[in-house]
Amino acid sequence: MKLNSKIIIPIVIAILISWVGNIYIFDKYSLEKPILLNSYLGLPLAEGYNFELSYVSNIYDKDNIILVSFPEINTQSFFVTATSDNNIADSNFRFNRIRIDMSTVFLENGKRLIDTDETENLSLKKIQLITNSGKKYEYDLGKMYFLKQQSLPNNAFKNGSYMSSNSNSGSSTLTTETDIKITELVNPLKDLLSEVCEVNINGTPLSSVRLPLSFKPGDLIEVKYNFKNNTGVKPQFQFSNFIIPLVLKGIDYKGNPAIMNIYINGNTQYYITAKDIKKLLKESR
Amino acid sequence: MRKPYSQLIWGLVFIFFNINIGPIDILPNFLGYIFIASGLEGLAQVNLIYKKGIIPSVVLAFASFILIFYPINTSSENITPSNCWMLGISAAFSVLNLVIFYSICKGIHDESEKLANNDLMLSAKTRWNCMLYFTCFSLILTPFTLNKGQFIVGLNFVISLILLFLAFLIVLLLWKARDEFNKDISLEE
Repeated sequence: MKLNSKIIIPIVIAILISWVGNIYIFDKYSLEKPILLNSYLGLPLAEGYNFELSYVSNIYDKDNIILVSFPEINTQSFFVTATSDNNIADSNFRFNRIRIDMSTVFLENGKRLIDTDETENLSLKKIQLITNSGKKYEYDLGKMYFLKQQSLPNNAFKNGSYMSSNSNSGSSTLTTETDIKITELVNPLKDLLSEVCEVNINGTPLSSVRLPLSFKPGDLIEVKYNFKNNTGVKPQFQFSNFIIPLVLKGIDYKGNPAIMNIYINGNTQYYITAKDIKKLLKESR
Repeated sequence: MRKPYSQLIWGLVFIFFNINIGPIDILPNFLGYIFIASGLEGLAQVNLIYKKGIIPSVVLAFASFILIFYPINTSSENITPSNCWMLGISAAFSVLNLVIFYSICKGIHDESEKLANNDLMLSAKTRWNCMLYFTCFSLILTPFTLNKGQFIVGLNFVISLILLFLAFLIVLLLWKARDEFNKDISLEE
């Protein structure tokens, strides 16, 4: 029962290599601060609208994001709701989602953001996340457009069906109530839309649509969209959350303005893997 | 000489089987190590090899006692880069346990050899070898759990069960040794 040094020495070396190597990797891939995934959002700046942001943290982090502010417009810090978190397989990373309710955003002057008299749409790029220990992290989020609700008579369109699927495709169908001419397709994230998504209006690609489009009462306007495969998308758009508005503007037969917002939803962040995060970390160092 | 073997059996039962009533472990590990130290002290009169396990038992008795008041949590959600040394404590426990198992198995092996009890001798040798290699395998695998490979985490769990089973086999070995050696003493008398 003597210990055989020819066996024991290699085992001891293997144990040492395993410990040193794993601790090195563990330390190397620990996140110093959460990774906020890009979001490209266009939402009405009105009561009842909210959106979700996603971030990745270490599995052992207890310091969760609880407050958010928009430094570009000097908002007060406001509470956010954690909607879910789950561990990412084969890693020390956790995927978290927080929901931001626009009606809870207050400016420094105490006024709610949605109650401001601004008529212009609001465009923001930066966001500050604050943890429960008070740590503040500022990020370039992507782009956020908050569309000021316009009090235009909207009796020309009738909402039809809306459908979206997990494969990042979907469609919206509208019915026209009166004779209508669509004269303008407004999209604050136009460049992004053409890059990440294929959109068709009644079967015609968005880029080939010739305006104006005329419709009779009862006609259907079908907007179909299909997000391109991630591999064809630029790195900065990967693992992103998209809510891209497409505003149909026109006039009815009386010459009254007609307007309808269609939202194109896509999420690519659900497929993020440990390998993706390690790649992001390498790129950021 | 039944008493030291019984102390070792109880010691291992206290260490490897944890029965909790609420937050209280009714089979505290530190008591198990005290039993083992006492059992090894008794058997050291027969064979000096048993002495090798006494100091590790005393160290582990103290360490286990301190851990009652300052428990360490090595679950994945508690290990951070700044406290991953905590995993080293469980590794140190494994190494010291291995020294204790060596002194027990080697002692039984040598005693069996003297009495030409080949079955017991072979059992002691086999169980020690299994305990040695599976503990080493576990020591190699444990740090991989830091990086959460799902396969490794599953494999480490299986190894833990095997180690528990091997500890149970060593309890049975001690049981058999207690009966066999005392039978031989009675026959000599």
